[in-house]
Amino acid sequence: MKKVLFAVFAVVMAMAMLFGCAAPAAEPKKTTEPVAVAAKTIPFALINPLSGPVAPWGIGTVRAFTLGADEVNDAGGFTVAGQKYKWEIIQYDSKMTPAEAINGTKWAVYDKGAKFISIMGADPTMAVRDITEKEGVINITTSPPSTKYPMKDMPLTYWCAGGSSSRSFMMWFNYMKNEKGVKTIASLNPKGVVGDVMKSYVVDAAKQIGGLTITANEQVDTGTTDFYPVLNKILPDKPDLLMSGALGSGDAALMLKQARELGYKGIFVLAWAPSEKTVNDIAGQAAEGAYGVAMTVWQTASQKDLYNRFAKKWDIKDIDVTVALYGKVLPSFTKAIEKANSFDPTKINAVFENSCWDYLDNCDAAWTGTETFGIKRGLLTKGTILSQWVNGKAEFVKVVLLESTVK
Amino acid sequence: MQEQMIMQSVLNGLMSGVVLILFSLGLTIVFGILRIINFAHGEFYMIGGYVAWLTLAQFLMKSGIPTWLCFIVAIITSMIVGALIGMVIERLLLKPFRGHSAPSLIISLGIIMLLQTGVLLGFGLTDKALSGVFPGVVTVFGATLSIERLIVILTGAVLAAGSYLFLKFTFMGMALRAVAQDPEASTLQGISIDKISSIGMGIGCALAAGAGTLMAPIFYINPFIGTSLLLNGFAVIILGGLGSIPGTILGGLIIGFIQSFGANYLGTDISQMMTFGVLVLVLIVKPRGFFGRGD
Repeated sequence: MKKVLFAVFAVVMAMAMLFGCAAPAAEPKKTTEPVAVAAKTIPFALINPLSGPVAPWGIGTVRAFTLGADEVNDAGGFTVAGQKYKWEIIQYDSKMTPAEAINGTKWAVYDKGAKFISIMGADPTMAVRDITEKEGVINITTSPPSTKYPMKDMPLTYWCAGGSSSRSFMMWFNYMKNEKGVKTIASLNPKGVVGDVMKSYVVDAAKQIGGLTITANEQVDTGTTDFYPVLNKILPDKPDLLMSGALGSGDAALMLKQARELGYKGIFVLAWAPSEKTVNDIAGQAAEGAYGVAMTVWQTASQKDLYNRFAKKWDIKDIDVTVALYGKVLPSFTKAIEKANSFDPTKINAVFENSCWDYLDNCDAAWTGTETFGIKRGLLTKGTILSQWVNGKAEFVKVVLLESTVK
Repeated sequence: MQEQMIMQSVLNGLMSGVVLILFSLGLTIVFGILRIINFAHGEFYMIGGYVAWLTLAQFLMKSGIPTWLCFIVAIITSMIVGALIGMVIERLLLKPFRGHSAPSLIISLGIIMLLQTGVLLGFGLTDKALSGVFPGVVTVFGATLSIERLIVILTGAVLAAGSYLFLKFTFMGMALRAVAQDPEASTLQGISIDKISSIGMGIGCALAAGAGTLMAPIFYINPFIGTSLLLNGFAVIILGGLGSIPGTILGGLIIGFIQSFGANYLGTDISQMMTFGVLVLVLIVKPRGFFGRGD
């Protein structure tokens, strides 16, 4: 009897695992109050990592888009061809893998009828492009654009990882060179597509600015915790500036802590929108004097509004930076749909790729990637925030503007 | 400069090696006795990290007790917690499938989800950190090492040596090894397989939790930290020979040094490749690893 019971248990466990992997991580959730009778709901699918090492980014992005949907819905929704609509956010755990992204996209597009989705990660985005482009689905991917991807052949894909291009590095490389006398830079990025892209941006930005030498441009596995070996390789060249590239906050903070332990006294830049709390918790005293790029300081009216709405909705004070990056995307997209007055992706495209929204303020996030990527749908921001740790707090230094570096 | 770099690589390799040994000893004990490959072993390392965070950051270090004493208490606590959770899991989930590799493999994958999700719900997604437990650095033959790392090397070595001596010379250790070698003959000698399996699982999980606690002041803690270590843990026990204690110690040191020297001189990409390159080479020459048994 016991054996039978356990056999049943094993089967149930195995089935739970199988379905856990294959089915949506969570039932689609309505993010707002019940919809008014006259308004139809329209799904916006988020195919993000909701489990695994990069789940914090995925969950932060879900929250950002949810805030965007709330903003639209709370204002009464939007109108297309005389019909009122409201957004319904649906989500699927991609685990940041191409295979799960395909499952999630099929579920969203074929089962749920989604015509608008957002997928996190360049690899997952590339994996689903046959479905999205063929089915006329607009994908606002939260991944950085790169000339390495066939972006011209993906007219319905928007590359929305804010400000990611060699030009975004140029903004603060220029400041460090002119204001801090930096001549040599060593960079560390994660392995994978994003790391490859960032690595090339570092080289390109240094070349564009001129007078800067890249002494090291290494890559490490995502989730690396012991940076001693790679730092031992990098530090003997005594770079003036050491940067953590696209490493997540925790990894970058560990790298900073370990670099200081190994005696590095130069400038350290956490270059990928670090979280103040995470850096303080992990690096502690070692964070003193380090710089943070694109940190969310919640200074502008637009950002204060996002912060307050986020804190109220989830009762969390330490807000992931993805909220600031992506919180305003969906309202901007909605305006484009309204203006196009149609759900036809070509008509929406014509409006949306000429849209902008407030990242810091005053319409400073826009699809202006033509010069760098050969398409408009690569997002660039006009400026980025530079902060510095002083007495355990990341203090605002200045907004470094792209136009100050473009020759 | 060259000598300094070599010394730095030695120290880095030693630290990685010691942690890998502790972690993999647990893995190999569990395999040897229960005959299961416990994919959830990394989660006990993760639990050790969280116990360290809870006991040290939230309680002990605020109490005014000397830090070294707090740290020892944290290690003991985490090993006890790891052992208890391991024993409960063995009794409830693994015992019915002892000796059946396929179902126990599925169960161990399920345990990963169970433990990761449990910790995720309990502690949230944000990384936890124990900063400044043992601040400062020391210089060893020109190479720099944080005191926290030095403590990992010393404590880890003591724990690994203690585990080896326990298994080699105590009655319980001999009983564990006897069951690992021949369960049927052990039963005929009056050894209770049920009891030994439970104890073996407890010891294995305690070692992983101990390794997690040791590393907590150096790295950050989140529900997924055990996953990356597991791959290296498997490489260690395969290299040393499945179920072999001396093999695990040798394997841990070899992989620790390969990764450290490889990263220093050839880059991190190559070092990871080298780890598995060496593993493949050793398995070609010695298919059961350095000290693997014929069965």
